[in-house]
Amino acid sequence: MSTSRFASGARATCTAAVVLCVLLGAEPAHADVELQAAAIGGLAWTRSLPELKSASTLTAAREVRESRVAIGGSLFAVGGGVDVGLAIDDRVFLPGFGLAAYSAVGSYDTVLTSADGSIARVRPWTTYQLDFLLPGIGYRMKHRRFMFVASIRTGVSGMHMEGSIAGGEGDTLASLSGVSGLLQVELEACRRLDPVTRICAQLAPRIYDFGFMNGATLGLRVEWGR
Amino acid sequence: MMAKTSVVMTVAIGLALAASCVLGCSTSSGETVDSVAQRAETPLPARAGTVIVDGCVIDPWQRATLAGPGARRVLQEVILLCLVPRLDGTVGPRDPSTVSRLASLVADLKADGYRVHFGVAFTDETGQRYDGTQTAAFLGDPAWRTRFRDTLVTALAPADGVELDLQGLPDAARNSVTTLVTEVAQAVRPGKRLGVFVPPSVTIPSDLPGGDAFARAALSAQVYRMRIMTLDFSDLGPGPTIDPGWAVDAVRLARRDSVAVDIAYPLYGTDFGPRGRRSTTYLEAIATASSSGARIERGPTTAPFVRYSGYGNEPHELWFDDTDSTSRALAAWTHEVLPPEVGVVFYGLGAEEPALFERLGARMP
Repeated sequence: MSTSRFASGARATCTAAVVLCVLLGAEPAHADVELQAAAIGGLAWTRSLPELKSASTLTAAREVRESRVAIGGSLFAVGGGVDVGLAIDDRVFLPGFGLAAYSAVGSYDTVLTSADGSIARVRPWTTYQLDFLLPGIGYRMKHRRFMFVASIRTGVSGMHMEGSIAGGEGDTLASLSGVSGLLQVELEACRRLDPVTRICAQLAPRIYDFGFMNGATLGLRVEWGR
Repeated sequence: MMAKTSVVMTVAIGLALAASCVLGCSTSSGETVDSVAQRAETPLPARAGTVIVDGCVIDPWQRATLAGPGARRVLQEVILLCLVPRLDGTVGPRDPSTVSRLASLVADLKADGYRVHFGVAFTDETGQRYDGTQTAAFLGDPAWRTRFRDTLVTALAPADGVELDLQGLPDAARNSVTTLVTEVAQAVRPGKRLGVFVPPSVTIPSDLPGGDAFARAALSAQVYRMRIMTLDFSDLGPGPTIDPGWAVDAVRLARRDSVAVDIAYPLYGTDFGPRGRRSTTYLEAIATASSSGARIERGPTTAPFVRYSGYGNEPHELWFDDTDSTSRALAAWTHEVLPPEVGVVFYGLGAEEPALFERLGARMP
């Protein structure tokens, strides 16, 4: 009985070790792990501007508490960023860490809203967005000079914009910001320029970013790595 | 090799351009648009609605408004600010014809589904409000209070309740106010409801003259609702009649003592001129703007106002409210800001934009 239990435990341990080796690509005889780095520039589209939090603000009429401010409306932003990842066996792609910053582009209306019961105005044209990209998993395939990658990755997205809160006969400047979890799909089509450099077009629909299916990014990437 | 380098360079330049946009590629269109919560198709937070009629008579326009489907969706109670105490404490009007007409009016409004309360304004027969010190002296006299209470019960017969509108009292009248309210409560409850109009203090001690004449914690046990009169925000110079955020603070303070409170919203406007202030109506404001050729502007709280030259070329500012400013304030008072049990009391039926209640009614959930 005890021998059987030992055998069963040993089998489970071996299985786990094999799975771990496959996942990490650390099996010395076959795994080929390549570090990838990329710089990206492009557009970010937010389908609906989310509720953001206004900081506590002292107006001529009152002290407005920290509160959630409804906004709405879509926004285009432009910016860029960098990120790194790992390619395993030229097939599995593990997006790693990255950072991207975007700033609003275009012409926008002032949004009339409220903060803690006071009338407030938000200025979407002052929007900045910062994405901290975290690991994910993907797959890539090559055909001659071309490469195609599909991956899904996580992250954290932050947004900041300026506004004002009405108090009696005047307005007081206020800042609004928010942080959200991020889940996005990244679809890339690349062309190799030289053995270690590629240029890629990337489309990344955002499955969750302050809300479900709330935007996408579209950009050009320069990637380094085999 | 050159081609590849130029592609990389192009991309690098593109990235640099994108980065430069961070320094400013976006502008204001100069227009304003409503947020999700403020849009006309978004329902307003549901609240109990009351309207105050300043007088004993409802004119045909006011009657038509109350009979309309919009007002019936927004409002459940009508307060006729009608009763007045005489010098000896007797509550009027008492002449049989007026009493009969009032009873008929109340029956009419009840038939439309409204609860009707009579408000007691502490004014003389001409409508001139009693001096606060004089009112305090009345309240401090047990014989006066007894006569007031006994005659009030008779005058109230057709109504569902009574509201006490005491204004301008000295802080020292605090005990007398509590005593009066307690005695009236004992006389009229539980058959009738009792409400009291309370100044919109935002601090303890009160930031308003006479604000501490009202012991809210003691009064709350005696009354059905406290109506926090969040009106006349700009009492020193030109400005909006209400600041929605300030009104929230006044109600939050009152709610420390009582759950059953109303926030007030003005239907009237105020004309500020060198000779003082004067109450106006929406239609008067529009007519003034039209006849003087003045543009209607909007203040920070979205309340409209008109700058015009009056008699003798005197500079005037006329501040008022319309459907847009009213619905924006009501939308700003979300249930997160003020819980659903806080009601809204609209002051001055007949002074509002004619379509106000129809448009508010269309946004009621």
